[in-house]
Amino acid sequence: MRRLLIRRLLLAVPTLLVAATIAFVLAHLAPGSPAVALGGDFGAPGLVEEIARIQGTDRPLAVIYVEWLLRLARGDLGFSFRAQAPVTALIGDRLGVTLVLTLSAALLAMLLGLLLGAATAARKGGRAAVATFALVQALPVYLVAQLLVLVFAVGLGLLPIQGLENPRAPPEGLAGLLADRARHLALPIAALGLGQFGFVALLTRARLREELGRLYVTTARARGAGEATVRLRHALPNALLPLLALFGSRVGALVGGALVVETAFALPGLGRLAVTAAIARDQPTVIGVVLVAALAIVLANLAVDLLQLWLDPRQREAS
Amino acid sequence: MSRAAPACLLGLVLLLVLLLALAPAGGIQALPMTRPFLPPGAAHPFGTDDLGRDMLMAVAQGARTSLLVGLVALALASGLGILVGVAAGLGPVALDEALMRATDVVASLPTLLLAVLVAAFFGGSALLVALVLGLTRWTVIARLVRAETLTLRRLPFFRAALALGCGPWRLARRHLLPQLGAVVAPAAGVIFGGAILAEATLAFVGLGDPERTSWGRLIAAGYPFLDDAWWMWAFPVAAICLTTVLVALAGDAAAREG
Amino acid sequence: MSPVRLVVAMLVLVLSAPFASAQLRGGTAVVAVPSDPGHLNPAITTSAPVQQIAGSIFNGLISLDETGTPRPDLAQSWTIAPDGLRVTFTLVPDARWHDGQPVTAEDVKFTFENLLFRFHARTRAGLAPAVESIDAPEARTVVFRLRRPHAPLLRQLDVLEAPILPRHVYAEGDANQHPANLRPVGSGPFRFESYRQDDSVVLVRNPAYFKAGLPHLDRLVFRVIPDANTQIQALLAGEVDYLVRVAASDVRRLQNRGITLVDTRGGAGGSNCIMTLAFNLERPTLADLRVRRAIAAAMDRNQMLDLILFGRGRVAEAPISSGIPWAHLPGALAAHPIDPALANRLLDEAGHPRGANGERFSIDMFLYATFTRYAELMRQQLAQVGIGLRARFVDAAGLGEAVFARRYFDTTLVSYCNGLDPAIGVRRMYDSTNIGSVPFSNAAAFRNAEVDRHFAAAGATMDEAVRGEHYRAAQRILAAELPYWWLVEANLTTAWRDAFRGFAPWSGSFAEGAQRLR
Repeated sequence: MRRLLIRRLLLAVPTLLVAATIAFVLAHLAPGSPAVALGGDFGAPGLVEEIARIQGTDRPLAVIYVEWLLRLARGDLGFSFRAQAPVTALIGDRLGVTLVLTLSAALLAMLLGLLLGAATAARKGGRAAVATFALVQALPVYLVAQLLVLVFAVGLGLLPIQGLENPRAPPEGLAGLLADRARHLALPIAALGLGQFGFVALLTRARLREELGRLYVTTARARGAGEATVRLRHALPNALLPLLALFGSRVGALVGGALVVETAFALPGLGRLAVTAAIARDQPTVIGVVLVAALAIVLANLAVDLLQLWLDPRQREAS
Repeated sequence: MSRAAPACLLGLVLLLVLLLALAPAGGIQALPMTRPFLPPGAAHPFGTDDLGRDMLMAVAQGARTSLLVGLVALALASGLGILVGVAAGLGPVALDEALMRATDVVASLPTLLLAVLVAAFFGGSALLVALVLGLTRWTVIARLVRAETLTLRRLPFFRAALALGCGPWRLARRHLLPQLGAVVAPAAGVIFGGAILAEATLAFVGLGDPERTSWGRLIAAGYPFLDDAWWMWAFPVAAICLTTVLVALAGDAAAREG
Repeated sequence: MSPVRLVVAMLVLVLSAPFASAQLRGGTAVVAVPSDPGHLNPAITTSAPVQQIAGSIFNGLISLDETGTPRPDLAQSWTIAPDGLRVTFTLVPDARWHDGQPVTAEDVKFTFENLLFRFHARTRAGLAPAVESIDAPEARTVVFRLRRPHAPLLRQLDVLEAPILPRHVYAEGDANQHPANLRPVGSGPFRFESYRQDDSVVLVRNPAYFKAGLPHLDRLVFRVIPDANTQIQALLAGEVDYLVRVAASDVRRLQNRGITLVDTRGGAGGSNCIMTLAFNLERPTLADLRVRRAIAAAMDRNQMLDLILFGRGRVAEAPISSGIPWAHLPGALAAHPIDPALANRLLDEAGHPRGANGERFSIDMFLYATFTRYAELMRQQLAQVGIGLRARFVDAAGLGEAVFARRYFDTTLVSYCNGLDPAIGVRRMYDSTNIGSVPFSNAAAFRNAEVDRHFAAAGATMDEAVRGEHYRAAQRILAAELPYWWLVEANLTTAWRDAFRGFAPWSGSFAEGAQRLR
C-alpha cells in the first residue's frame, strides 16, 4: 500500500516535468511572441522590441528554461503580462469552476452510467440500449451543449443560457448563492456528464454481463436471492473494479471536454484560460495550465489506485 | 452479437467508400457554386451552403479529412503501442520497467489540451492534430500488447520453442502478431473515433484546418444558420454520429469475440 | 395627418426627448464582449477588449461624434495657432478622478510622456514623432508644441487613442505591471467596481461625473462571452443587452426580435476598415504587375459583399475608405473590372501556362480563422483562372511573425482600418520606411518615392483641400501599381435590446448617454 503510494508519487515528478517541458517547447516554438501579441495593431517602430526587453523574452531560450525550472522548484509559475498577475493566481481563480464542473460531471456520468448500464444488462435484447449509449458517447460535447441550451434554456426558459451568475440580480446569502450557481451550472455539468455517461454505461453493461455468467452469481440465484440483489450486491461490485481503472484514464477527456463547455457557456475556467493564453502567446500561463492538467490526471490515477485497494480485499492482502 | 462486428464494420466501410467516391478529388475549390441556401432537393440532396456549394459534396469531403485524421492517429498509436508493448513484454526486466514507466508518463499527459495548443500555435492542420493524438494515445495499446506478450511468454510451447533455439522476436512475429488484432481492436476503435471527435472539437473552438473540409468545420460554419438552414449542420452532425457509433459498436462487438 | 400636423407632432417629439430622458435614470446594462481584456489600462495597449471597457472608465482630451467631428471631453475648448505648431487645450474646471483628486494638466502631460508615447502602439507611431513637447503652464492649460503642422491631431486625442490616466496613481512603479492596471482609477462616467477574469467587469455610475446629469445607467456590466452563437442566444433571451459586434451572417437572426441594429464605420477596435489582400512584392511571381492585375480581375468582389457580408457594406472603390470623403477618390479602382478572360490572358503573357491539372501556380494566404469565408470564396474565384490558393490560419501573434517580422508569405488577408484620418491608418500601409518587423504596417513592402512624398506632404499641412489633393494623387498611383487589392468595406453592426436607447457605438464612451426605458 505504502509502496504503491510512494511509487506513484515518485513517478509524478518526471510526469509533470515532461508535461511542462513539452508545453514550454511548444509555447516557445510557436510563431510570434507575447511582445508581438501585445504590441498592438498599428505600426510603432521599436515597441515590440521594448516590450520583449521588459518581459525578458528577448533572452536565449536556454536561459529562460533554466530560470523557469528554478522558479518552478520554488512553486513559482511566473508572471502573466497579459493578465497582469502571477500565473498561480490566474489558475487559482479558475480552479474552482473547473473542479466543480468536472467532478460533478464525472459523478453524474458514473451514477447514470452505472444505473442504466446495470438496468440494461439483461440477457435478451439490449442492442438498442448499446446503440443509444454509443450514440451519446459519439456526440461531440458542443452539440450536446447546444441541444441542452435549445431545449432547456431557449425553448422552456427554465435555465440560463450562459455565465456563472445573473449580473442584474447578484444572489444574496449563502443559500441564494448556492442555488444561483446550481442553476447556472446545471446545463454545463449535464453537457459534460452526458458525454462521459455513454462510455460508463457501455462498460458497466459489458462487465456486468461477464460477471452475471459466473458461478457465484448462479450460486446466489440458487440460494434464492432476488434479481436486484444479485445484480447490485453481488455482480456490480466485482464489475466495478476494472471500470474504475478505466475511469482514471478518462480524466484527460474530461479536461478537454471542460474546455469546450467553458467556451460554449462562457464560464471562467482553466480550459478558457489555456486558449486565451495560447492566442496571446502568454507562455508562463500556457505552461502552468498544462502542468495543472497533468497534475489532475496523476492525482486521479492515484485516487483510483487507492479506491481499488480499498474495494478489493485480494489486492489489499497482496500488498 | 457475434455477427454485429462484421456488420458494423461493413456498414462503416460502405458508408465511407460511398462518401469518398462522391468526393471530388481537387479539394474544396473544385466544388461548383450555385445558389446559396437551397434546401435539400433533387439537384442537391443535402441542399447548398451559404456560398452555394453542394452540401453532399462537402460532407463527402469531410469524410476524407475525418478518415485521414482517424487513420493517421490510429496507425501511429498502434505502431508505437505494439512496438513498445512487445519490447517490454519480451525484453529484459530493466527495459520492461523503463518502457512501462515511460508509458505511465505519457498516459498522464493532457492529450486534448496539447492538441488544442498545437493547433492554436501552428495553424490547426488536421495532420498535425492527428500526429499529436497518435503520439500520445499509444499507451493503452502498449499496455494491452505487453499483457498479451507476457501471457504468451508463460505458455509451455513458447518456452519449448525458446529452448529449441527459436529467437524470441521470431516467435513474437509468428505467434503473437496474428492474435493482436482481437486484443487491440476495441482500443483501436476508441482511438479512431476519438481522433475524429477531437478534430471536430478543435474545429468548433475555431482551430480547424483551413485547407481541408471536415465535418467539424461544416458544423461550425452552419451554426449561424441554425434557425433557417438546418441542412447546413444536420448532415455533418449525422455523419459524425453515424461514423463514431459504428466504430464504437464494431469495437464493442470485437471485444466480445476476442 | 396633414403635413403641417406631422411636422408639429415630430417637433413635439424631438423637443420632449431631452425632458423625457432626464427622468430615465437607473438600471443595469449587460454588454457582451468576445474576449477577456486581461487588464484595464488602455494607455499601454491597443487591444480591442481593453479599449471597449476602459473607454467608459476614462476620458480623452476630446471626444468624437458620429461624423468624427471633435467635441469637448476633458478639454472644454482648444485653440490652434495660425502656423499650426501650437495647440492649447483648456481643461474643464470640475473634472475629478474617481478617488476624489482633481484632474490637472500635469496628469495629461504625464500620461502622454510616460505612457501613451511609450506603450500605446497607435499613439506612439502616429502622434509621438510630431510632438516636440507637452507643457502644463497652468493647472487647467495644456500646450502641445509640434515639430510640424499635424492635421490629424484632434482625431488622435479621444479616449480610444489617448486616454488620460492619473499621475498620482501611476507616477510610482512600472506601468507594465502596476496594481492599478487591475483596479483602474479614471475620470469617466463609470467607476470600476470589480473584475473577474474571463467572466465579467462591473462598473458603477460615477455620481460626481463632470458632465452634469450623466450617466443615466446605474451599472454597466461587461460579460466575456467567446462564442458568437451564445452571444446571440443570450441577447435574444435578455441575459445580455448589448452586443459590441454582430457578424453579418448573424444579423438576420436578430431582425424583428425586439433588437435595435445599428451599422457604423467604427468604434473601439478600429474604424473605416477595408478588407484587403496584400501581395508580398518581394516574391518574384507577385512582383509582376500583370499577375496582380490578373488576380484583381479574377475576383468577384460583389459576391463577397452578397454572400459574406449579406449586403452590409460596399465594394471598395479606392485605396482610401469612402468613410473619409475628403480624401477618398471615387472610382479609383474602376480600371480593374471583373474580367476572368483578361486575367487568363495576363497570366499567359506573364509566363504562367496552365499545368496538366489546369493550375498555373499556387500562392499561400495568411489570415485569421474568422475570415475563413473570404478564403473559401477567393479560392473558388482564383481556381477559375488557374491559380491555387493555400489558406493558412494564424492569430495576431502568428501574423505578426509570418507577415511582418519574417516575411515568409505570398499574400495575406488583413482588415486594414483607415481610422478617421488617412495619416492615422492609411500611410502605414504604403510608406517605404514602414517595411519590416513592425506589426500591421507595410505588408506589401511597397516602395514608391512619389507616394511617400504625397503622404508626407499631406501629413504636414492643415489645409484639408491640399491634403485631399495629395491623397487622391497617391491613390491614382496605388490603383495603377496594385500593391494591395482592396476588397470590401464592411459595416460594423452593433445590436442592443429595444429596452435601451442612447448608445453611441462609434464612440469609446459608448454608454455615457445610454438610458434604460421602462
